[in-house]
Amino acid sequence: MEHTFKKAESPLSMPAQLGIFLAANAVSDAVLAVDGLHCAIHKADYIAGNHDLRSTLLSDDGRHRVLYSMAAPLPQERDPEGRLAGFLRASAGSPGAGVVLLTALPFLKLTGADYSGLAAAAGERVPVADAVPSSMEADWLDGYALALDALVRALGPRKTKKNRRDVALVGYMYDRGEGDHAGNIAELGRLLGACGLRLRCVLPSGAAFRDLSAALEAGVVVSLPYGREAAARLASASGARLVETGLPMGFAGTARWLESVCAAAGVKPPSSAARLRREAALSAAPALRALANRKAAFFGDPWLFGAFAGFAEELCMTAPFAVLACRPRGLSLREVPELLLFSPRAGEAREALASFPGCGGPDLAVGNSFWRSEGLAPGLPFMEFGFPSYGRHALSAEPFLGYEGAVRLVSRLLNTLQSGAG
Amino acid sequence: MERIVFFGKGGIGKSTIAANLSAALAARGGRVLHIGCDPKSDSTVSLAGRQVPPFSPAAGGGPGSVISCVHPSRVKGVDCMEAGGPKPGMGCAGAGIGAMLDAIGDSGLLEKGGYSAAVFDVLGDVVCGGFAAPLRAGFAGKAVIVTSEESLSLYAANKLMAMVKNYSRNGVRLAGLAANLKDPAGEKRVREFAAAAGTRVLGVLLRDPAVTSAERLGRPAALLFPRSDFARRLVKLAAAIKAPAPAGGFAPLTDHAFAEFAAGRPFSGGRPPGGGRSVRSRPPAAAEALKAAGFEPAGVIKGQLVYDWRRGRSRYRVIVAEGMAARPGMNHVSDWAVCFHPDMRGLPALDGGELAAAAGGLSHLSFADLLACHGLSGTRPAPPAHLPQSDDIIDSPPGSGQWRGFLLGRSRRECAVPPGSVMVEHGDSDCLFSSCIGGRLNMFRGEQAASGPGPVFPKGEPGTANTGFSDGDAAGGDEDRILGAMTAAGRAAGPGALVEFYTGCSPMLLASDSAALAAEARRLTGAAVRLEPYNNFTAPAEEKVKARAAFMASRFKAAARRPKADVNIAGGGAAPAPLLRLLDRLGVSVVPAGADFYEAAASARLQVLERPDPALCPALDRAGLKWTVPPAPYGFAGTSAWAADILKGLGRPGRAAPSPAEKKAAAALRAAAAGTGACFICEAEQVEGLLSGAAFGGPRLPAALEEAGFGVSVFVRGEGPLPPRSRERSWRVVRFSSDGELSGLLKKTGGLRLVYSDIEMDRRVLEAGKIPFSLSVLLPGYEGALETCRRLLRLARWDYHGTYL
Repeated sequence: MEHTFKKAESPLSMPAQLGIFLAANAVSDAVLAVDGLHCAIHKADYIAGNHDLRSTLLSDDGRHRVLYSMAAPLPQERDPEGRLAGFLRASAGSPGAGVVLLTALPFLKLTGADYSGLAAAAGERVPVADAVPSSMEADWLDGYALALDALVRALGPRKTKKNRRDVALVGYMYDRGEGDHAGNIAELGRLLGACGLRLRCVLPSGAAFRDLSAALEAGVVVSLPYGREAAARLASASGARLVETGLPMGFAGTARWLESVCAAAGVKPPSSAARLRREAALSAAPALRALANRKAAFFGDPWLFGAFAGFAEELCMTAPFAVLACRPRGLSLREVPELLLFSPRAGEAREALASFPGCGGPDLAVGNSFWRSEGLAPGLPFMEFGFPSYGRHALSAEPFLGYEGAVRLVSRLLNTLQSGAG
Repeated sequence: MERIVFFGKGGIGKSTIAANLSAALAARGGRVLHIGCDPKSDSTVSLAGRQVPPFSPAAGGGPGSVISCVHPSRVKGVDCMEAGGPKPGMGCAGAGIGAMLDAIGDSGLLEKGGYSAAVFDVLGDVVCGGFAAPLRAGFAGKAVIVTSEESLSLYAANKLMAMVKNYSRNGVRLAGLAANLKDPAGEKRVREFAAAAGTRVLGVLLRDPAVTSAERLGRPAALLFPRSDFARRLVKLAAAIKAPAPAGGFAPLTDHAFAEFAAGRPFSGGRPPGGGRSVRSRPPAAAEALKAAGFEPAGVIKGQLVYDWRRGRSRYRVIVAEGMAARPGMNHVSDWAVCFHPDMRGLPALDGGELAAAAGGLSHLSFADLLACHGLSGTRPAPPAHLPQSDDIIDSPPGSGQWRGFLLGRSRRECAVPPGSVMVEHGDSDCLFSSCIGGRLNMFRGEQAASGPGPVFPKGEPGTANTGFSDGDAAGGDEDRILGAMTAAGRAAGPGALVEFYTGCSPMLLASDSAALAAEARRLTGAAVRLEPYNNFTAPAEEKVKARAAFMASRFKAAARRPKADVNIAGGGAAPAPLLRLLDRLGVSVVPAGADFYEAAASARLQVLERPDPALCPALDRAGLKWTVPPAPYGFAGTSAWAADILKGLGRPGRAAPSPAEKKAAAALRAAAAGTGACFICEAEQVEGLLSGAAFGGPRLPAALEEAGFGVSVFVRGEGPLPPRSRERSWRVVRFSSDGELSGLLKKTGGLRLVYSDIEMDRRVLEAGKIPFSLSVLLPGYEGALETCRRLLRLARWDYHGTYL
């Protein structure tokens, strides 16, 4: 076909519902009840079987964790609330349901349904929490944060005896049940352990809903960027100390993160923690010659970009080109990138990247699967990273956070530059 | 903090009372946020002395954007906010109000703003949930309904009471009625109504020239004329509103009871003047009505009601489902829908229209009424929660032992999307992500990604687009966006080309005049712009199919030229290499892959289609292009039949046959497969699909397996009748009725190794110690048949799961 209908090319971002699906995927017994038509369910396909080979959102025997109500815009219902109450009852009756996350397609939100009231009234058998985006312009990161906040609301307040050395990480982006996240959680647990702290809970981490209540027993709540509201709510509900951090990526980034957490817990990182950092950094050293002065283009989520840009600097690399798949957000970057686009149209991003030719342009790209499928910079060595990653899976532990994760990332960057993919 | 919301019929004086109340509360030293929830933006005029700029959902998020919409008034202690709304006749004002309140909630303005009271003034005609947004948790605590003594005003008040009662779950209480009377004698009537509905009259206001004068001066009357009768009465009203509101207790009248009240007759519903509990109006004589229409309750299956419907001397079994649970094709009546039971054996054929007409006579009955006739009043079954599935599978509620088939969804009818046309989806970003290639759902549907890993950005392919419908469009109208998208699409498609404009769910609620805009876009671009509901690009709606066929025919004709090749493998992409080699062996030339769709067709003598297409076939006919849909080329017999069909279509002699080497290899493989069992699990009505290949989208897979030497079994669920020709096959047919029985069959059937399932690596099969296989093993042509057989044998020998899992 000759023409391409470029004028209406869609912005490179993902909708709020996809973030809510990700959050439901991250709690093993969460049932996601979607008020809306069956077309909503295809968001599960971006996760189960494509990005997350271990996803349990859908099941072979039909006992899926995603349900939909088939509510349509027309004809208008006479008793939408009665219908919704029945739908919530059915959802709560799903075998093994530990919590019901209720969400709705935008057109139903437009009709002004009182989702929070209905969710609160429905949570007798299992907790029902509403995560209905308030805006059609909300993106997947908003949706994920909203769902985490809903999960914390469903946990309810509980003032229990806390151990100040117990740490809960709240707002973690657990986008799949594969070895990258399992590896991250193990690594952060190891590093906190080295500092005399205990990783009590990661919210979410693929565990069941009831296991998330362990977060209420932590003395320190670490607020990660993907769920600031949830973390603040949880700390307020439990009376724990709240510390806001970025992602513990890279050697220096991880060390700063550990210092922040230790300070909140009232402990000092021992010298052994510094030794771990040094050992990891030494492991990565052979790759530095290949990486130094390389420029990376990044495509994906802003928090991952912020952390990656910091790590790049540590490796004498730069990440001056960023295409972020989300609505504009404030980033605390040490250096202003040469290119920073929030959810541009693919053509716009392609043209912008192409305007840095030759030695002024990137040496490699780091980003999610859409980088390749949208052909943002064809031919550039590409390291697939972030959500969604259709082409890269981790069947065993492959952290990207912490010291161990930093070494793995260096390996991947090196392999990307050497072989075109890493 | 006091949080008061005013409701009432339009023009009844809500804004006047609400604004004066805000002023009165502030005069006592409070700090008040007065929030106008009316697209006319006039609630705050008497406080601010001007129209304040309304909140705009398009202004962006964040607390700052909300605070910038809070405006000081001329009354000390009162700040103002207006929701605003679209131009009359456009957009959705309720959406705008909902968006403003969401923004207020998200920003914490009420809590952090230092206000002692918030007063919400909602426009009179509460027509959708957006106008009830102040009743959501965290906003209003008390509701005041303003009414006059007139029947229509009281009727509106009664309806509004029902709304407030519904939202009492959020802690909202009905403070009572504020009577704004036209005639002082009407007070008695308002008080009678209040008593009947179990609420109270908070205060009585009368017509007062002071109000008119104050309005002319743009000031609240209570401040400007503090000694007026209005001001005195308002002070009393304010005190009554501030007093604790009673918890619940009120009971809006039923429509029937209100009609009797309005007519001045003693009424049987509502709360009688002497007190006592509310009585719902007597349910209509549903049982009698059903009987008169010929419907006799026959049971309940999975939340659906079953009736025997008498028609002449026959009794037809019909199914009634609640509207939300209705399947496509059911006739909607009231909040329920009806259709014939699928099994109509032995009954004279009957037009569905007759059933629809008979059911239409029962449109006064609700689903709850029908449940009551089944003795299910108060035990309303949970409606089915729909599960992700192919379109033609009915699911029961989760947890009730649902059956999940092994053969899924290939019976959907679709029509070809014409290359060169443009499809615009008018929808939000969620609409954009309503399809995805690959993933688990598509495994169920047999639609695996054709190329390697990597998502395709939805609707990003050439010729399709999403308009990005936004909050701003919802609140302010979307006509500019529609026309812009239609015009851009029309220009991209070119004069005479086809543009299909699909309206998604959110914009559908706005009901914008898309037809007029399509006509305008047509005038501007010369492209034909068609309007379609929803975003199902491939659904074969009759008119759409005709338009597509006409467009494709015109393109075929425009591309017409002398044929250069014998066949064009149309619509299915590039032909697989084994088929190309086979055609080459037969001396049949093929249009090379990658050519323009229309030119490729026009340059071939025969179009080879994978399946009949409701748009493509008539288009080819109209353009004079010959086409055929040969049998699927799987297995030796299937491949020979495929080639024979093509040769016949070309008018060529000859016949296709495997080479001696291929025959020899097949014999060896047949010997290896002997004693190895493969089975298919299905419903009785799917057996015909196994025979014809329809169950697999074309390939006659069981026949190909038999030909390859495998022993084929068919496990049939239930007792339904089988098609007679199924007896002609050498299949072994075994019946089962439950999951447990099936599991036993799978485990105990001797020699059985392979089980067909559209769900790849189906755990149910693996857990029975067998190996699932699907269409992914299948390759076309003679070479492909041999490789398919090798793959199946490899699978049959495979024991990874048995060894390790």
